[in-house]
Amino acid sequence: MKRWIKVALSSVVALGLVIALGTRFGLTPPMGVFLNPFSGAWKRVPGAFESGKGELHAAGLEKPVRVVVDQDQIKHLFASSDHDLYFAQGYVLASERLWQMEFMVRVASGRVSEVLGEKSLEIDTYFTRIGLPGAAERSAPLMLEDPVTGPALKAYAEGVNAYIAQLTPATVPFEYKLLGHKPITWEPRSAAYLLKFMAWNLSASSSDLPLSRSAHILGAAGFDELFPLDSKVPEPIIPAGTAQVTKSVAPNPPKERFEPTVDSLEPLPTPHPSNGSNNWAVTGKKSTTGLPILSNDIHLGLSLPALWYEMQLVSPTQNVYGISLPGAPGIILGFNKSIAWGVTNGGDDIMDWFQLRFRDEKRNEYLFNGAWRPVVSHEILIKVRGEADKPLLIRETQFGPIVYDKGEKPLSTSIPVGLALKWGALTESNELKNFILMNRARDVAEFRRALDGYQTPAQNFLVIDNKGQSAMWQFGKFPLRWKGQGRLISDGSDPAYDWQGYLTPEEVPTIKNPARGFYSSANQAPFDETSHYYFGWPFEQPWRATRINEILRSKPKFAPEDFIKMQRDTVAVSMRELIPVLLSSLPRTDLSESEKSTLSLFEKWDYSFEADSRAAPLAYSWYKQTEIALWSRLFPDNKGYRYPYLTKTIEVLKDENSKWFDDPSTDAKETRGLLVLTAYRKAIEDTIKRTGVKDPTSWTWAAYRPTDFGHAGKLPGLGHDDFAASGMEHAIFANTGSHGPVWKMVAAVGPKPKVYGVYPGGQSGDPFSPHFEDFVELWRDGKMKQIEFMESETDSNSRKLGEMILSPGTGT
Amino acid sequence: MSTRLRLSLAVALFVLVTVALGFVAWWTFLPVAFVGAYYLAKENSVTRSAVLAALAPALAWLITALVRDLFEATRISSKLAGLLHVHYGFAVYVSLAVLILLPSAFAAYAGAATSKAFR
Repeated sequence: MKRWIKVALSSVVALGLVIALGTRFGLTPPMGVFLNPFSGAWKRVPGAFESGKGELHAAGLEKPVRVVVDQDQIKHLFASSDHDLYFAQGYVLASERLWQMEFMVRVASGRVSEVLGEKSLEIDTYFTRIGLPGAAERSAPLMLEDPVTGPALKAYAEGVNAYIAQLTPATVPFEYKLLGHKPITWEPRSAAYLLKFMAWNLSASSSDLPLSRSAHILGAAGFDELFPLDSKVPEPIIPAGTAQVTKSVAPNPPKERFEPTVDSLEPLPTPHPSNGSNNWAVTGKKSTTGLPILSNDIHLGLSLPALWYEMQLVSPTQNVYGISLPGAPGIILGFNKSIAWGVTNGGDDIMDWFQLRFRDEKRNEYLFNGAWRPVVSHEILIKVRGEADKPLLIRETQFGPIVYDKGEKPLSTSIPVGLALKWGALTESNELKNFILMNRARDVAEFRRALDGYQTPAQNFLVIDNKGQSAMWQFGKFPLRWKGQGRLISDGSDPAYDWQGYLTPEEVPTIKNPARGFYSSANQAPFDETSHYYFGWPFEQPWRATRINEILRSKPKFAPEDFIKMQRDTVAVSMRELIPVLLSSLPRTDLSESEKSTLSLFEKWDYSFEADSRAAPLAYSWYKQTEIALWSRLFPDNKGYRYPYLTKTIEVLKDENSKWFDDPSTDAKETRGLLVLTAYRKAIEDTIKRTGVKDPTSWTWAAYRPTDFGHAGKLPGLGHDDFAASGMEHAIFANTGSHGPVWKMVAAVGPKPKVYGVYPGGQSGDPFSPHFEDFVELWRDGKMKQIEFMESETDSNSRKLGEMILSPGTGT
Repeated sequence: MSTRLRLSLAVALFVLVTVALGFVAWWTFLPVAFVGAYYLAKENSVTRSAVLAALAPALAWLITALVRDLFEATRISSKLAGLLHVHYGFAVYVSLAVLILLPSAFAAYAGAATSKAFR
């Protein structure tokens, strides 16, 4: 009997362990399954096209598609119809980036909790409440019924689903294994969510609340002094004197200035303020080739897998190369045989917040233009992994949603109680059509026609063609505004604060073949301070634009290689203006010997933010500490205030007698010298702390601010942190450590395009793939690879790895 | 041929065959450990049989993972270790040891004990 007890006990324990190790506990994967060398995390599934050899089959294709694979895993697709082209594009993207595609759609549609559980509920609530899923759902029918985008979306989804159908538990991407989740069927409408998510990324950076807080503290006179609406725009996108169409009449401002209630307001989560871009071009007369040359680098969050996927798409209607957004058909930015185009974010204000006057505590009616209007409510359910569905109340006004309402638990950085959001991106739209038509445009005129109907996010579209033409439009749907409208929180009861029409497409900021021989934009204001129309406030400060333009003015002609070098430029004009002012204001007699010797770092500094720069970390910290010393007593930290522009801060610092140095709450008279000295000492402390080095001669910018590539799905351990890279937000190479150029391109049009490009990442979305971060070092070093553009199937490709065929059928 | 040599050869053969064929599922080595220990227990003690029988699949597991990873130039292991460490800290390494050794050890013990119970 005793013998059988041993058998029973050991059997039960063995069985118990098998069950336990095969069971998921919360988000912890079943470790037995997860670590199985044959089907778990150790099994890396090579990309379907990674070898560049062989034939694949996909049910739904009409004819074989030829796929040329190069050594960087860039796929050149040659299809005999647009259907097959977009089908193959969907298949390829699914094979490389399936998890990323699904995750991005989940974020935009408020469905992350379905796979990650309750911890994602707040972010799902936020995106649902600001109306992103609703806007995508309203846009989807437009996109699916359109003769250009409908077939493309359906073919693309067929391709994605053909790939998904071929997956097994052993071959699903790693993230699915980790989370114990299966790929969902890809819907043709999914791209609508992705496009709206990009619109959020590029147009939801609202300053209404922080500025309202600052205005509340300063009063009208102080606010107008520190935040002047007429602040000078030294380098507008459209040079002064450029002819513009101005038919529309701006509405009249309200008679009285509205004072919003700001005491209970907290800032909303917003996209990163460094989401911006640079683009510039020279016309033929300033080009070594005699034809225009274009440069573009777009700044967004640095992540792995990278946001973009590089590829070439060829069918009888097009031959286009560039970056595609995983999950959406076509190419977003790039070039074809005839044209090249690039964008920067417009940064125009299309997001206003309205303070409502509710009729009573029920908050179901609000006053507008003297009449009570109803708040329309409905409830939706959010699926939460491992829990019951969570109901979420959606409340809408004529302006848009009340994102959070009284009594609701806010996000960590959440919400003004009772404010309604009006946002241009919530209108149904089909920007995908514009991009697909751009892919097929053969000259500047066709490109302009491709922009018809484009709404959000407003972009500075710069295009050049091989006939020698070029143009730039800041294109989007712009509300007609009185000067200053929407800069602060608006009065929801007064119709004067509501939008009253839009600029017509002919009235958007436009410039063609400029006399100065070059174009440039870096998210600054489209026009100078005398602008006929008001597009919003604030725009990006002039630092990058100034640097770009001074280089473009510095010599008569530019080659593509000059533009590659320009994109690597790390000189910060802001520091060139600020540091001399700080140095001349610093009371040297009060400095210790070591503080004096530390100043020698600035002696030969050229204001560049190279990774190994010793002066850069001290300069940056001194800049930040000066802002804090000067403004934090007015605008206490962590309360969502907005500091004045750095241009204004420099202006104040230049005036030794400025009233802003003195703190009225103390008896002593604070001076500029004392403020600059305090900031300098704190900057030294801060630099020692961040670099971990006491000796100033061993400080480096990269140690002060390392560059981190986080995982796109926020899964710790799967990105690439502590990367030593140059750059700074005010420099052309606008690497902030977490944001920066996510696609860099230099294009020279001609009989055959000569184009260079790079993005920080790799083609594969698999963290274990050797192609996960192929281009990161190239990007860090400021280099670009010359792009192999194949004019036809038989054209040469010096980096060709091999060729594959994607054939109709169900084989593998 | 001595018992020890025969056992060593049996273990080596098992590891080679398992690595060559691959597991169908992560738990399939348990019945193998059970059966292996059942036969080993004819000439050995329960404990000795269980340890030997459990080591074979555990070794097979480790060698397979190692071989797979060598092909990938340790990229997977380093990423995986980084990921697991970030998520679960040091406890994960104890869990891995438990995962690899304990289930097969108990299955083997059950096999050896069954063998003795029938005698």
